[in-house]
Amino acid sequence: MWLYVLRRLGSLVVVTFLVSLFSFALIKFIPGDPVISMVGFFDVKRIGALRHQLGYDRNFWVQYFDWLKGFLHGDFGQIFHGPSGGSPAYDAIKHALPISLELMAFAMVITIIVAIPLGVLSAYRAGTWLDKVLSTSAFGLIAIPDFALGIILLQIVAVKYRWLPSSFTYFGANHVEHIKSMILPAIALAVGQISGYMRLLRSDMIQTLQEDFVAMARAKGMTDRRVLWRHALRPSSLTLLTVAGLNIGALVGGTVVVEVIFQIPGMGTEIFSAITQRQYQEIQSLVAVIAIGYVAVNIFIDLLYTVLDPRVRSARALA
Amino acid sequence: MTRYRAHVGRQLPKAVAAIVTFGLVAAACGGGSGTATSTNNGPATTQGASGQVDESSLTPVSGGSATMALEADTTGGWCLVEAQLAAAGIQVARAIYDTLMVPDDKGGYQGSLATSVTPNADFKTWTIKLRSGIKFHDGTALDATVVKNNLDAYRGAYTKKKANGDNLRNPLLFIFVFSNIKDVQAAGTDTVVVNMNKPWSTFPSHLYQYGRLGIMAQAQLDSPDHCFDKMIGTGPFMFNGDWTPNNHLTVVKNPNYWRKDKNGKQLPYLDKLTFKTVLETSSLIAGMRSGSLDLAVTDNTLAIKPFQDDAKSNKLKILATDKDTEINYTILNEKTEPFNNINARKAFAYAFNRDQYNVERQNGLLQKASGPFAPGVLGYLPASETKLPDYNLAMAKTYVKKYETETGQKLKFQYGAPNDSDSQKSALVVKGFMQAAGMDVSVRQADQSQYINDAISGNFQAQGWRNHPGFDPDDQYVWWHCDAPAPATQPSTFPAANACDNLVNFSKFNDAVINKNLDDGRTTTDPTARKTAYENINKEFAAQLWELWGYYALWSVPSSLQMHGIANLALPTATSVNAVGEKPFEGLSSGVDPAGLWKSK
Repeated sequence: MWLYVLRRLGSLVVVTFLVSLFSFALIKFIPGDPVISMVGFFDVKRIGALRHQLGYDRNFWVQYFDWLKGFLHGDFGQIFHGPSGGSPAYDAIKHALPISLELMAFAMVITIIVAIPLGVLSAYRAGTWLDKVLSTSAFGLIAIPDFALGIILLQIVAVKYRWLPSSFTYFGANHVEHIKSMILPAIALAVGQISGYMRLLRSDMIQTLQEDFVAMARAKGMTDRRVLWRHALRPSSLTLLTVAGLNIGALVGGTVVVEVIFQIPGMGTEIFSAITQRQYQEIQSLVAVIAIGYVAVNIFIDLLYTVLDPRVRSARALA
Repeated sequence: MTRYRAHVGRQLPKAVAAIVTFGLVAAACGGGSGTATSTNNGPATTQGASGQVDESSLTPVSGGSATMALEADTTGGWCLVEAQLAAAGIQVARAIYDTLMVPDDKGGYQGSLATSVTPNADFKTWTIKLRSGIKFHDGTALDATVVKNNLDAYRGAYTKKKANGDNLRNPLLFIFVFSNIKDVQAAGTDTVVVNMNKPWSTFPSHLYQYGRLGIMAQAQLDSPDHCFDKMIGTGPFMFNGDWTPNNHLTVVKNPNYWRKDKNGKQLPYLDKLTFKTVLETSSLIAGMRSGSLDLAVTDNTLAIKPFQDDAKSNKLKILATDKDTEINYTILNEKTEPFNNINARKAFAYAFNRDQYNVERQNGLLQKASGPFAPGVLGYLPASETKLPDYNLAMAKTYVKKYETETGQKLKFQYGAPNDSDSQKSALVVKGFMQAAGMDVSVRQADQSQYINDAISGNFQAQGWRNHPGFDPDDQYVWWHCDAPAPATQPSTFPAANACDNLVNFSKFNDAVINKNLDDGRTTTDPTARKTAYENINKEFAAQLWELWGYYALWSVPSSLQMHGIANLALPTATSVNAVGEKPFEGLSSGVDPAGLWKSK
């Protein structure tokens, strides 16, 4: 077991290295010159001096490993402000990350609360009109991009009926308004996920309901509710768990647009502006943090399998 | 909480993005003399100010807070001498800082931190008298020394160094703008004397600089690492450290602000003002309609249209104007082919269907420009007088043929546009116009900073642009004037040897008529002579087509029905800090005076 954990942590290091290297290379292809953006265009001497000072005139690998070394020591690089100076990218990430995590958590909670009951219900009523309505609705909702849904929700819920605010409020400024300000963006992020999870759970659940142990449970006189929630749901949720891990990437992608639409100062907004402003070091660190988070969540889910499914536990014990 | 980032400049998320606002553009503003000069120019406007509400019967209420949307994140902070402030950044600066002079509604300039700015007989020495009793937000006094230091820093003559020996302050365009200043002297505590190399009759107007020339406290000016984010001014609001880039910046009431309203009531009215960055058009519209935003400053035609519709149904108010505004246009590189040839320039001018472009890309909201000066600006002339060529496909084809015959080459060029999708769409429309006339055009994409760099380095043939805001036309001296000898008469092909030696004359034209009239315009205060000079420049541009003028930018301030005091607070006078002086400048391209904003219950 521990060997497995160590192996997975090893993969975390490799993945983070590869992702950060790839993104570093990609960033170098973004057109434009960050130094010119900082100091203007008139003083060629100063442009050259600053480029040298920032190390942008050095070899690609030297620049990359310099950043990596700093990152591993907790130095996430600088956000540059032109002739006036810079500030640590760490501060920006420290500020943005909790907001995005909160938004994603909200979205996940909504997803689970809605998708699981609907998925179970759909499987239980497979082939009925209810199942068809739920399945068709799920297909329809998957087809709506989260940013489009965000704008639609904004127009209807925030503008027309004014039930919820159209922009972000900090928790410290007003707790209630803060929660309210997170609802629409969380729904915008969650709806696509709900549909996917529901469809997935439905198909797994239908298979599970045909298993012998379910027939046995029913034969013992257990109620349908107990069979569904106590016996069928757990084995049916393993795929769901895998997809949840993989979907973290989609969720992060969704937050970029949704955060911009709802003016939420999270990682999405941070990435968006860092790219447009060519803040090389910040982009690097943002990507690395997200990559680490992504891999870590998936490792955690891997480990969770062993808890949820005894077959996986015994297979890993034998490995 | 304060966080920061550098910014390339203003983000342009819409069609107008093809026409870049250079963060530094428009830093050169000219105008009358130290005391108010009135130059009401030509027909007021083609579109003019609309939506200004008569609030004379209302009694302003003090207190409360408001949220103002700005359509772009600000640049790398507000170390004003080196900041690259676009419209959004200027709006914030106007809350925190005051300038020495401010423009009025008649084309003149009134004292703000200064009570008077007076010249000697030959306009080579100017004496600035400061208003007494004004304090910065940190409690230090506004005096001649800090003003001198600010002016020196703006012009690149501030001698203080960082610990590593580098210059403490590194200004950008202001070095060009103030290159005529020989030295600045503090004479006593309330008098600053500015000596010029050459006569400069319009110097007072340059003490406003489109709202960018605020006076910073010594502590901010001398901060090696935090000049950009520890803003200390004398303005109506104080920065309290709450700045989250890409999201918001909050300022709170300066309880000791020196200005008062006409009844002697302390300004500003609001206790708190939050500037909210709203990048998305849909978010801006939703924010205004849902009430989470109280007002906005925008030139986004995609948003202005629905706001105008809302105003018609009395859901909100909108003040909109293209008076004293910037020009959207195409810059052409006259140093190289094909636009060193006037036939190519004429072909472009006749091929560009401005009416169709306006409908397709600007919601039909913009008015066609007749020259570089917007209505209200000295030198403005209607198209009937400038004779600026307009769309005529047959003429365009004729000039394409002429060019090809004369040069033996196909009329072929690259049209540059920023690489956002809206700008690219706009560029494709332009490309279609040119192709219809027989030109061979390709669209060249560039990142915004590269785009500007291309203009400065001359690495372009034609590209969309925006510049030359209202105020005084001496504003434009820094952009158009050349010291290198110009051809006595312009040949059909502009000789590269005569290219302009001015780094920020991007097109590199060098026109004797323009040079002379620019000099004339800044060495006299005679209104008639100045009017003639700038009208001559206007006509010369239309004749030579150095730049191809497109549209007057339309600026607007949509606001909730509860917001008041938008752009109607009168200016102070030399003897009174009360708002009993001239009416404020009508243009909105540098935002509104936040001191006068108030919110009804």
